[in-house]
Formats: sequence, structure tokens, C-alpha cells
Amino acid sequence: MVRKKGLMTATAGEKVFDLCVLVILGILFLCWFFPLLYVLLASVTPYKDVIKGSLVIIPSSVTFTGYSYIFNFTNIFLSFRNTIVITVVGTALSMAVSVLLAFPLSKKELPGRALLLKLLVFTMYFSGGLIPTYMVVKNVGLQNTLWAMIIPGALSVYNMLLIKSYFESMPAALLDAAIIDGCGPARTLIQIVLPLSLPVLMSVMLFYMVGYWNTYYSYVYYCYDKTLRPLQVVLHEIIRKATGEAEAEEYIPTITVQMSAIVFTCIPIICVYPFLQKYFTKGVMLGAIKG
Amino acid sequence: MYVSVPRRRLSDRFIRSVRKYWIYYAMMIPGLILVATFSYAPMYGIVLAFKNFKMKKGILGSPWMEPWYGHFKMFFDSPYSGRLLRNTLIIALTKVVWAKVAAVLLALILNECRVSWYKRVVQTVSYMPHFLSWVVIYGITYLFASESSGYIGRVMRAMGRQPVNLLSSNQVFRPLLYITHIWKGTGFSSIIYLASMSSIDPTLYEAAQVDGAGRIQRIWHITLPGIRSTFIMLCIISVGSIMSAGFDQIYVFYNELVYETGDIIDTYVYRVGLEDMRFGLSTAVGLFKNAIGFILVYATNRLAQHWGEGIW
Repeated sequence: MVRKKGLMTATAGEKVFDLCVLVILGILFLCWFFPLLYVLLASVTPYKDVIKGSLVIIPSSVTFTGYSYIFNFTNIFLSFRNTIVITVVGTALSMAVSVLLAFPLSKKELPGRALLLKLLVFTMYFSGGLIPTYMVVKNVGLQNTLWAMIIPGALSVYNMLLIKSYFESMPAALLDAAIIDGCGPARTLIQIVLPLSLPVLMSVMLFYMVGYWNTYYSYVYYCYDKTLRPLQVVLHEIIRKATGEAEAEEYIPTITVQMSAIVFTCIPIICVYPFLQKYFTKGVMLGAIKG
Repeated sequence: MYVSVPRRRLSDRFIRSVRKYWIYYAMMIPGLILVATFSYAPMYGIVLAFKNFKMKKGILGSPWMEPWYGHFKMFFDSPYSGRLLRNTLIIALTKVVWAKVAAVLLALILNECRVSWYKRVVQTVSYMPHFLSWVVIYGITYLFASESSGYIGRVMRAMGRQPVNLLSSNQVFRPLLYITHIWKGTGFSSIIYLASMSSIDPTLYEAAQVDGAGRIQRIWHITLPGIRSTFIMLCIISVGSIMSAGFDQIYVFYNELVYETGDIIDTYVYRVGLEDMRFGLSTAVGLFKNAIGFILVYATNRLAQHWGEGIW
């Protein structure tokens, strides 16, 4: 934002104020950035140096034993594969279901719309609870499958409403023109509405993707087969082992190993994040406006 | 005759609208099936709260509790109920208050920053933790707070003090939850406030400046009133979460040593339900929690609508 020079005759007080703002923001930046950086550094510092405390900012020497350990001695690859399957299939399914539900609900003249919306919003504020949901997942036959980590949470009503309100904000004349030209609802959705809704679709996709990538509880609730463990569960076990919480096993992972596992788990999110950042700000703002 | 005419018209209208909108209804089927199966079907399972559940007999076949409120009585008579309620309310309330204050403060400071690239860098890094899982944040906390090799422990040792295991300390556990909660969420929550600040009419600031208002006065008299309605709306929304102290976070962070300060209703529901397999008791406690949460949201929203600031 460029301020108008004429109005902003910088007095000494103003300058001090601006400086204070910059300094406070600098400190806040470090509060967020330093822990992340420190994890990265600790993942490449030899364990004995971490213990000695020679790692303060710059590691004394660089090692990749942490990474080679997690690749060779843990089944992180299997869980990595599980998480990728969950994320890819889940995101595709969630997006399809949400868009298909949001589009009809954005039609103000659709009979029964108000009732359906009420029923959907109600589920955001009241749920059957853990055990009743568990019973349903079990009875439907999803228990102990990868699907248990995808289907029960596939539709986020909140995300669906974000898409719906974006659709609603589209100029009605545009959609009417499409219908006059003989475009059916399905074609209108695919050829006209979706290409124009990129910002909201991208931000909702990011929310779904991150949600699936961080899958943890649906495994804890609905699965017990160890080969189905998603990445976050394995990561938790690797970190917990050192605290002596998990069953005693052959080896206690060092800080280096634990931090390597964290970095490995975060890489995809950190890679995707910068590309989608400009979209999700819009998505959140939309949510703020529409409530 | 008088009665039958509108009735026929109604069914007529129904058929016509189905014929006209059937593609739209067809589109909604997958989503509605998901909601019906995983949101509404479990609501039937709530009857478990009033049943003496026997695995072999199923939900329907199991006998009713004698008396019907047996599970609730069991919960409130147990020594845990007081501790669970206290922990849940304290943690949830403190989190809500601090998270709101932190997000507004961050948005205010970012809004005052005039160096746009600097602002963008800070924003980018502040949103980042929102996308990290609680397991990852637990790992980062562990790196700083663990007894043997944590950063804080080393600093304490260097200062000649005996390090404690911060992750198993009842004094530190709750502050640890608050700090990590704020670290994770503040950046992302500030987006909404920044958005509503950017919609404040800039001529207000110019007029205030001409009248000789300083920066702080402008924040106090223009920016803060400008985000008032957003703030109130978000407060209403968070009232419903007053019974949810954050299972996602606490389940990952806690251990038996900190049950005293960190065990909440949701973690209890999980342990009793899926670890001890006491379905009836777990469902009852969960129902108690969900019902209160829902009543609170409903009541606040009614009240807010009365003042003209409802959320739906």
C-alpha cells in the first residue's frame, strides 16, 4: 500500500511509531520463524552436538544420519504412501461432493433449499458424538480401511458454504445468458461457473488437502491395522518413543531423527503453501463476510 | 372441494419442480448421503447414552438403563467429573480470550506497517503454523521443552538450575497449551480482522488526521470501532466451543502425569469409549457436552439476532 506523501508529513512521533511497529513485527517474525528454522537445523546436526548445546543458531557440522535413519529403519515410506493416497483420493472426492452440493444450493429458487441449508448448518453445531459415529463407521464396514480416513470427513459443511456463497456472488445475468444459449445446469457448472471460481476452489482445496495430509484422529478412532498408519501417526510414535511413552522398543530415536521426521512430514505442505497462499486469504475473507 | 384444490396444486407444483430441477437434486445426492450417514445417522446412536449396552445384543436389543439417567449419574458421582469440567472450561475460556486478543493485536500491528514487503513476509510466516498438524507442533514443543535435550532445559542448566520436564509438569502444561495454540492460530485468525480493517473508509483516517489525531488515537477511535461487528460475530461463534478445549491438541500433548490439569471432557470421552469400551457412559458424557455447546450457540445467536448481529 502506497501512502500519499502529502498527508503523511512524518513528524518525529510518527517516525518513532513506525519504528516501533517494525521492531515489534520483527520480533514476532522471529517468534514464528525461529522454531521452524531450529527444527530444520536440529535435523541436520549430529546428536552429540545437540546434547552438548553447541547448536544455538549455526550447526557445527552437518549430518544426514537422521534422514537416512527414518528411511531405513522406520516404515515411514509405507505411511507416506498411505497419506498420499488419502490426500489425493480424499481431496478429489471432497471437492467433487462439495461443489456438487454447493451449486444447487446457490440457486435461490430451488425448492427445499432453505430446509436443506438448515439441516446442513445444524450438523456444524451438533453431532452424535464419538461413539455413535464410531458405531456408524463400523456398521458401514469402513472400519480398518483407508476409506475410514477419507469418507466420514469428506464433506466439510463449512467449506461447502464458502463455495456456495462464492457461487451466489456471481452475476446472475451471466448464468441466465448461458441458459438462454441452451446450456444445461451441468454444462453451466463445468464451463462457466467453475472456471470463474478459481480463488475459492483453490483455497477450499488447500484446506481439504491440509486436512487430509494431517490425518491422525480418524486412524486413532477407526483403525488398528498398523500397515494403514498415516504419516502423522508414525511421526507421533517416533516423537513419543523418546519420551518413554510408547512400549519399549529396540531403539530410542534421537532428537536428530525426530526432527528429520518432522521436516520430512512438512515438506509437501511447505511446497504447496506458497502457491496457494494468495488464494486462501480471499477464501477466509469470503467466510468473514458471509459468516 | 375447497380443501382439495390447493392440495392438488401442491402436488402438481412438487412434480413440476422435480421435473424442472431434477439435475440439481441429482447433483446433491452424494453430499446429502454423506451428511445423512455420518452426521444424522449417529444422532440415532445417542440412545446409547440411555442404554446398558451389550455388544452382542446391539443398540436396539440392549436393555434401557435403570434409571434412565444412570450414565449421567455415574459420571457426576465419579471423582473425575469436577476435574474434567474445571479443566475444560478453564482451558477453553483462556484459549478463546487470548487467541482473540492476540489476533486483534497482530492485525492492528500489521495494519500499521507501511513497508509492504516487510508486512507480507511477516504475514506469510505467521500463517504457516496453521497448516502444520498438532503432531508436528508437539514435536517442535518437544524440541524446546523436553527434559533431556530441550532448548529450554539446556538454558536452565547453563544458568545452573535443575531442568524439569516441562511436558509432564502440571504447572506448565496449561500455559504450554495456550502458547502453542496462539503460535499456531494467531496469524491465520488475524486475516479476518485485517480484511475488515481494509474495508474501513480511508477518508475517516484522513479527516481524523486533519483534526490532529495521532496514530494511537486513530487506532482507538477508527480502527477498533471498525472491526467491532466482525469481533462480535466471531465471539458469538466461539461461544459454542466453550465446552471444547481442543481435543486435537490435548490428545497429542498430554500424558498421565498431567491429567490433573490437562484432562478434558473430550479426552475422557475417548478414553472411556474407545479404550475401555464403555460405550454408554462415553456417549452420555459426549451428549452432555454437545448439548450444552449447542444450547449456548443457539441462545447467543438468538440474543445476537435480537441486537441485530446474528450469524445465520
